[in-house]
Amino acid sequence: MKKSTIIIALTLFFSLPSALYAQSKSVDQLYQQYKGQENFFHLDLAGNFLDFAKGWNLEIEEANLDAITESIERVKFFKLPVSGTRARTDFQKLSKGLGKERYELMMDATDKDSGLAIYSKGKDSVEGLVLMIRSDNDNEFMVIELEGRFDQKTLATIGKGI
Amino acid sequence: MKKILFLALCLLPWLAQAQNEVIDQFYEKYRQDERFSRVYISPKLMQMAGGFLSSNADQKDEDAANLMELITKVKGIRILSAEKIGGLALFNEAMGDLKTDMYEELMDVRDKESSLKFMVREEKGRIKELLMVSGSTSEFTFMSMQGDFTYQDLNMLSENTNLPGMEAYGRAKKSK
Repeated sequence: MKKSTIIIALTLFFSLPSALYAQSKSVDQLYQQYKGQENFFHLDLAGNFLDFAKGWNLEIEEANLDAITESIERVKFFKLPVSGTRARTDFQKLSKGLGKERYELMMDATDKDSGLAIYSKGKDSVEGLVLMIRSDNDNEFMVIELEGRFDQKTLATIGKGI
Repeated sequence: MKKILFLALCLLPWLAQAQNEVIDQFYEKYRQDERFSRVYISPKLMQMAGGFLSSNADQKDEDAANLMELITKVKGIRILSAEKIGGLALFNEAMGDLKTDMYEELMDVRDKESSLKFMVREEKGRIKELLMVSGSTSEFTFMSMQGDFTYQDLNMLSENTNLPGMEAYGRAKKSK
């Protein structure tokens, strides 16, 4: 009995960080759907983001990158290799999937040819963000997933630096 | 009599919630309709943006600081708009769905080809929601802004922002 309790406790302890910043299954499903295609573009940033950002020769102090990099655990960006009706259907499916995963729609600004929707996960602080971007007269459909923890204090810190 | 008053008071929050659901349903009904442009900003984002904006406000510029403070009072925004559409039918649909006795009418402009209505929902002397619906033979706009405002705040919003209908609201206030 004791042994099994220890095993469960250890399993929970080690799986907790990945559970906190777990990526969206719906985003991953869309990513998997197109990842084998030749004209599929994706960018994945993980690990020590600060070191990576330093390589861009950005003015760290000015952008308050410390606060940003402390918050972001991982960035996933991809552009759908399709456009028009097919991509719009993919986006609608993704929206529904995010809803089922208890992501909350934070912002939606859309017109006929372009749009931006931001979904977030977490109650008191944001533990994950998914941005769905539609631009260039309905020709470009992009998804950005940010994993990490963003609260009001962090945003204010970042804001002061910009 | 006291019992009825007590019951009515108990039901007030529920009625306000029911009104929010009506607005949600109307917005959701046309959200996926490609003829409509839409803007939605959730209370959560407004709350987060509040902290962000406050930290950036230029305290030396009083107007800018006041506007930033005012924006932090906004709890959420929904806007639906469409062109080349039968806006009068949509105006009537929106008005039919709403239980307008929950709202106080601020402005009502109507002619043969267009209708515009500004309404507010008040609780304890504070404006909790500003609702604007306008429809014409070719256009339709619906805006619901929730928060905690005074009439002075609304005047400032009409003067300093480009939110739909605010220009008409400002003109009407000046002509009074």
